[in-house]
Amino acid sequence: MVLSASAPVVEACALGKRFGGRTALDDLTLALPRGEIFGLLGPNGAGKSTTLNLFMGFLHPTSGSARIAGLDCTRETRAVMRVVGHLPEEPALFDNLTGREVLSFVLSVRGEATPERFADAAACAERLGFVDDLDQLVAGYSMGMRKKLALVLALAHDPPVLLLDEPTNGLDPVVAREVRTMLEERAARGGTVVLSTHLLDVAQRVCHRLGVLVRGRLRTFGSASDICADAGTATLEDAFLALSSER
Amino acid sequence: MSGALVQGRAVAAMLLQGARNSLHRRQGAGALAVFPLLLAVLLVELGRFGGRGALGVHRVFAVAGDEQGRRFATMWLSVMLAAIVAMKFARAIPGRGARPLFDTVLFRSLPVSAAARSGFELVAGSLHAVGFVVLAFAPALHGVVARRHHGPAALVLTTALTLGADVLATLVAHALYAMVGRSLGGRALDRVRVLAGVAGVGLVGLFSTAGPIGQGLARSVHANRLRPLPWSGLGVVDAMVRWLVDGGESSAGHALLHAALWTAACVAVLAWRIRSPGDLALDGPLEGAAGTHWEPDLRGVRAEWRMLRRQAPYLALATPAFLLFFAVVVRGARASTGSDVPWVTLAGLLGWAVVVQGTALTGAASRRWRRVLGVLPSAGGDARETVRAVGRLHFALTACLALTALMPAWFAAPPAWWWFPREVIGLLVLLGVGAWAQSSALFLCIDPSPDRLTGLSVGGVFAVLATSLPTAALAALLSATPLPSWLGLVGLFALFAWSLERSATARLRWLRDPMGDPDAARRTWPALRAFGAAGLAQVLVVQVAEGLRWPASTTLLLALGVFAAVLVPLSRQGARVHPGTPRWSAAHGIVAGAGTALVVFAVGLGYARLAARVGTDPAPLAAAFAHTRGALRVALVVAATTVVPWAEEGFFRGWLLPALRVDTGSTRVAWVLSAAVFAMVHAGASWAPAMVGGLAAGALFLRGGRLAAPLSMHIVHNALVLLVALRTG
Repeated sequence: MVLSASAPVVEACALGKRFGGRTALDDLTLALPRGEIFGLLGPNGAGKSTTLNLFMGFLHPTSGSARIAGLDCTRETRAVMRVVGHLPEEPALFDNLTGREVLSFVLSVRGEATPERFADAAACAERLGFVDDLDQLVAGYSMGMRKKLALVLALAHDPPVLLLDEPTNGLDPVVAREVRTMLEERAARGGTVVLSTHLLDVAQRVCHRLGVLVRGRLRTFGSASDICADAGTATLEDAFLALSSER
Repeated sequence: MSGALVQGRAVAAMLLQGARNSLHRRQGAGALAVFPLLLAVLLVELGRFGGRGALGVHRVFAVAGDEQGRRFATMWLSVMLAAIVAMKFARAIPGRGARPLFDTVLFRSLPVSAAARSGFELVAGSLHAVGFVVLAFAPALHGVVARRHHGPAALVLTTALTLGADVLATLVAHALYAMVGRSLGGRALDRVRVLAGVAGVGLVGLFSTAGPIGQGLARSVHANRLRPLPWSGLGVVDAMVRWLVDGGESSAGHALLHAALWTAACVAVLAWRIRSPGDLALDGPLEGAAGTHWEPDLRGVRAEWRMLRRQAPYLALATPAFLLFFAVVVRGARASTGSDVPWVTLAGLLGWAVVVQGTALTGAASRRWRRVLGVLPSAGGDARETVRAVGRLHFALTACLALTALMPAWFAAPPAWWWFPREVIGLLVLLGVGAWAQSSALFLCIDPSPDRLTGLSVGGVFAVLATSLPTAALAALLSATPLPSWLGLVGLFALFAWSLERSATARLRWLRDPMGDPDAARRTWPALRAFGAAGLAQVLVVQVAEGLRWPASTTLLLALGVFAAVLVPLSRQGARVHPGTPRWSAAHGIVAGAGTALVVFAVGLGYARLAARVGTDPAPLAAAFAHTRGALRVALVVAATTVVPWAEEGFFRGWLLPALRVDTGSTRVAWVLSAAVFAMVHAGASWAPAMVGGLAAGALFLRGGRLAAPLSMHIVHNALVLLVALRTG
C-alpha cells in the first residue's frame, strides 16, 4: 500500500475506552506521520495496551475514533490488519507447530507465502540469533524465543505500520539492541512504529517522540528533551516520576 | 471468496500439521501406544452401546406402536440434542472453539474476515466433538433409522444425520453464545456456562437412565408407567423422526425446512454479531490477555486453593457426571451380584486413576512443569515444596471425585453404619498418599528436552499407572481388610511415596543446577522404593491368597516368587549405576562364601536354641517347611536356595550397599545400614542371626568386589537351615 508522505499514518481522534465504570483511555488525540517511531510510556495500567488494542480493532472505542493509513480501525479491520505488524505483550502462539510452520501459516493466511517473504523472515530471524530454533516446536520455546518469533511474524509481511507492545521485554541486551536497530531501519525506510514500553532508556534511545499516559490520559507529548523541559526536570526518569505522581 | 478458500486451506493444513506434531513430537511413543488401544476400546464400546440403544428403541416401538414409539424417540433425541448444545455452549465438550485457536491475538491480527473466522470455528468445533455426539446421539437414532432401513444404508443414513445434528448443534451453540455472551461477559458468562454444562450432563444422565439404553424401559412402557411428554420434542427432530418412521416426501421436506429455519435463525444471529462484534475480552478467556495469563505460584496452601477455584467449573461438571455414572454402575452391579460394594469402589477408583489422573494430571501439571523447568535458572521455590504443592492440588481434585464416586455406593448398599465414615476417612488418607506418590513420580519422569515437556510420555504413563494401581488396589482392600493391616499397607505405600519424593526432589534440584550430582536421584531412594514395591506386591498377593483360603505354604511360595520377580529386574537395573570392582575370582568367592556360611549358621543355631529356651517363634521359612510335603516341599527348597538368595543378594549387596556408600560417604555406615535393613526383613525370631548374616555378606562383597561370595554364603546357609528343619521336624 502506498501511503501519502504528508498525511498522518496513525491517527487517534478524541479516542476513549471505558470498561464498565472504569475509564481505561480518555480523549487521546494523536497524529503520527511516516517514518516516525513513537513511544507510548506510562506506569502499569495506564492504558498503553488498551490504546494498541483499539488501533488493532480488538477493542471498540466508547468515544472518538482510531485510523491507520486512513482506514477506520473499528470498521475496516481486515484492511488494517494488512498494513499493520502487531506484537502483543505476551505472544500466544500455536504450541503444536514449529516456528517455521507458524511463519508459513501466517504468511499463507496473509496470502504472501512467497520465497522472498520466507527469505526476508529467515534473514530477520538470523539477525535476532533465532534461525536455528525455527525448527523446534513452539511448546519448548522460552519467553525470549516466543518474543523473537512473534517479532519475526510481525515483520514478515513488511508492513508500513508496526504496533509493538513491550518489544524488548525478555530479550538479552544484544538482541534488544538489534531490535532497536531494525526499528530505526524501518523508520528510515518510511515505516511508522508505535511502541509501548515502560523501559525509559529504550524509549529515549529509539523514539523520535514520546507520549506519557497516566490513568488513561495523555499527560505530555513530544521529544524526550521537550518532555524534560516541560516537566522542569533534568532526566526523562524524573519527568516520568513527576508526571506519574500527579493527581 | 478465493481469499477465504486460501485461508481455509492454510487453517486446515495448520490443524493437520499441529495434530501430526502433537502425536509424533509432543506425545511420544507412550501416546502412540495408548491411543490405538483407547480407540479400539471406544469402538467396541460404541458398537455395544449403539446395539443396545437401537435394540431399546426397537422394543419400545414394538410395545407402544408406531405413534407412541415415534413420540418417545423424538423426546429422547431432542433431549440429547439439547444436551449436546448445552455442553458445546459450556465448552464442556469442544464445540464453540474450545481450543482457543481462533480466539488468539495472533489469529485476530491476521486479515481474516469475521465470517471466515466463524466458519473455521464452526467446522473445527463440529469436528472436535464428533466422537461425543456419535456416542450420545447415534445409538437411539440408529434404532429409529432401522425401522425402515437396513444394512449399510441404515449405517450411512445414521452417520449422515448424526453429523448433521453435530453441525446444527454447533451452530446453535455459537448463536446462543453470540446472543448472551455480549450482554453477560466475564464472570456472569462463566456462571451461565457452568450451569449449561451441568444441565447438559444432567440431560445425558437422564438419557442414560430413562432413555432407550436404560434397562427395562420397554416393560415400563408396556405397563403404562412411562408416557411421552405432551411436548414431545424439537420441531426439527420431530420432522426427522416422522420422515424416518413414516417415510414420504412431505415429511422429508418438513425436516429439511425445519433444519433450514434453524440454520437461518442461527446465521442471522451470527451475522448480527459479526456486524457489531463485541470486545475480544467478552469472547471468553484469551491467552495472553491481562488477568487470564497463568502464573506459576507454587507456594503455600492458598496457591492451591486458588488453583482449585480455577478448576471449579471442571469439578462442577465432573462431579454430577461421576455421581450419575456410578449410581448407574452400582445399581447394575448390585442387580447382578448382590453385595459388591468394594469391587464397585475398585472399579470407580480405577476409572478415576487411569482416566482422570492420566489425562488431567499429565495435561494440567505439565503446564506447571514447563514453567518450572522451562525457565530453570530463574525458577524459584524449594524443589520439595514444588513437588508437594502439585501433590496437594491433585489430592484436592481427586478427593472430590473419588468421594463423589463413593456416595452412590453408600446409598445403594451400606453394609453397616460405620462403613461410610470409615471408607471416607480411609480414602482421604489413601488419596493423600496416592497423590503424593503420583506427583513425585511424575516429577521424577519429566524428560527435560523441550519437545517432551508436555503430554504423555512413556515414563509419564508408567508413573501414572505405577502409582494409580496401588491406590486403586488399596481402595478395594479398605472394606475387605482389617483396619490395622490396611493401615500397615498404606504405611508401606507412604514409604514408597516418600522415597519417590526424595528422588524427585533430587532430580528437580539437579535439573535446576546441572552442575550438581546427576545420579543423586538414582541411588538409595530408588533402591528402597524397589524394595517397598516388592514388599507391597508380596503383601497384596498374600492378602489375595488368604482371601481365597489357599494353604499357608502355597501362599509363602507365591509371596517369595512375587518378591523375587519384582526385585530381581529392578536390582539388575540399579546395580548398573555403581558396578563393583571384582578383586576375587568367582571360585575364590564361592569358597569364601561357603566357609562364612558355616560360621553364620553356627551363630544362628546357637541363637535358635536360645530363642527356643525363651519361647520365641522359630523362623517362618523353617516353620513353613516343616508343615509341607511332596512337590510343594521341593518347590520351597528350590525357592529358598536359589530365587530368594539371588533376589536378596542382588538387592542388598548389589544395589543398596554401594548406593548407601556413595550417599552416606562412609563404607562402614553403609555396611551396617544395609545389614540392618536386611535384618528388618527377616523380622521375628531370626532378626539377630540375619544381622550377623547381613554383616558377613556385606563384608564378603566389600572384600571380594563381586556378588558370587555373598550369594554362595546365602545359598549354603539356607540349605543348612532347611536340612536341620528336615531332620528335626
